[in-house]
Amino acid sequence: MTRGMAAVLGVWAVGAIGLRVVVVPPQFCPPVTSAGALESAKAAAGWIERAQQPDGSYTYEFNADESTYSAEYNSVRHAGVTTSLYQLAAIDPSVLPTADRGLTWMQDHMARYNGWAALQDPFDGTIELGADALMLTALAQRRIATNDPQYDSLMHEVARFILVMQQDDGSFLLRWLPQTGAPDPTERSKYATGESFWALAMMHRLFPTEGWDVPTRKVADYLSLHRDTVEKQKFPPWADQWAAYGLAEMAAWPGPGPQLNEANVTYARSLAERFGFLVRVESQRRDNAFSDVIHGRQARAAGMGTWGEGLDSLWRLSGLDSRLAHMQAKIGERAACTSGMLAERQIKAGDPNTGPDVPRLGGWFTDGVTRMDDQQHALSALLRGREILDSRSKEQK
Amino acid sequence: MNTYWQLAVFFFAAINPASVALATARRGADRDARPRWQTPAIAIVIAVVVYAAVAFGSERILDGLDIEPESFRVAAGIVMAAVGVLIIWRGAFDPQSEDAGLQAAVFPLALPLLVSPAGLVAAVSYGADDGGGKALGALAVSLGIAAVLLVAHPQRAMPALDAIARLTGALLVVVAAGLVVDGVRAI
Repeated sequence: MTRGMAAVLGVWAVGAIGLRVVVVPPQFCPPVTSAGALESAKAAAGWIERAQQPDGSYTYEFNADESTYSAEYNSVRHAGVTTSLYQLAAIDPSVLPTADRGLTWMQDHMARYNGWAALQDPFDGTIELGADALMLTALAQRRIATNDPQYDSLMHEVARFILVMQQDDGSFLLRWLPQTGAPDPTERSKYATGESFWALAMMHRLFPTEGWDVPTRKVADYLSLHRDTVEKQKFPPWADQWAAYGLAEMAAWPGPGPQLNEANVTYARSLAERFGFLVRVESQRRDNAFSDVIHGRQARAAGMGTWGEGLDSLWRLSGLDSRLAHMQAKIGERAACTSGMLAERQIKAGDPNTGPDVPRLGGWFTDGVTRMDDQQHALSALLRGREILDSRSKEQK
Repeated sequence: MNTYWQLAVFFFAAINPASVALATARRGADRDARPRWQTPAIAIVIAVVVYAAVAFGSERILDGLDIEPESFRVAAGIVMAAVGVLIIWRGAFDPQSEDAGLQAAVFPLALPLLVSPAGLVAAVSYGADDGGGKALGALAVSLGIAAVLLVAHPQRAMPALDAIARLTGALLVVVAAGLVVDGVRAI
């Protein structure tokens, strides 16, 4: 009996070890407090601020190993970084000048046609929906942070451009072509639709009597029901944090609720499941070659930050819509895990190779490289995650 | 959350009473002089104790392993699918043992026939998701069926048991696939 049982237990032990190593390595969610998350977010803003150019553009990409800067630029990411800075400005107004310089850069590159205005990329001359949607979210965040109405008319001009790009089914086209004076009918973007959704949802929040809810609901339904099929997403739902922002914004609209229909709620649930899965997998990854081979490389902060932003938004949404209330605790758990991982992986004072010549402090680097959206998404996720961290710490008390 | 009867079906697939009965029937009649019910009864008691410890301790086990229940579902599904495929392919397990009486109750009857890898991971996963009491209650159905088959010792029904064991293996693969999908789709 002893030999037979030992053999069986031996085989089981080998199987269990294999399973542990390959399928279920330990999940690690570093602890972080709300104050710690805010410090991290401010440090990220510090990285952006120190690397800002005199014309208001930001450092696009920096390779710390080679001390080289990329010559590329991307106006969509510029607008996104500016949005994240204005999100922080609601709590820390000291970042306003940096964000305003970023806004000035966008204002310096506007194209105006038929009552609307759009950001025109100064490098390739394209007018891309995503850049304008995020410019509008930046302006809306500035409005929320400062209550300053000076850009209200610009917001309306940009919002009208977004409507020009919207199709009857609620979807959006990606580019407007100055040569033809019309949108390019052949191209859509998996990013720009959600970005526009959030931007329009905020227009209704800030100007509730102007009817911005109608195009917003159209895009919400397109995202909820058709986008993944029409745009051939291989593993639906596309992990779209912009859509999550938009849904949370919609749910908080003034007026009798609920603001979301059943399709929107089902979509929100599927987004929560996707973000939750991504965070669980990421929490099992380690920064070593073995983990890289077996579980894949650790996600860059830009990716992880978007999951955090998505979860933060869905956490707020689940607090507003009773149909999602049962998911709030789990969503909060995953969002807190994301904040912890982001805070832990950020370059901090005292880390090696950090100094004025090698701008690493406050940034997130993958293979020695950081891009401005690493700081952008991580900043937003950490900032918005504070409310969750506060609520979880109250629960634990 | 699964219903009690869903859990009962899942555990039926994981424990596979037909496979247990077939493996025992293949070993031939026990040479021990004790009553025929005694060896199976001891094995069942051992299985209940082990499964109760695992199902009620599932949260502690997962905490100790630093694994979220949602992630463990994927691992449990993989183990259960592998066991299911093996049973479909090779039929009931046939642990080599000359033991009889009480020793046979421990090995191979309790372990690894009644307390199997598929049963253990299922007990951890469903215990964590649905609670130890509910999981153990659902397990009791399969252990009860196994007990009846073991006492009956139906040697003439071996071909039928083989077919049922393989079908149950197929059911286990389906249950396992559902568990993996559940784990991937959970938050």
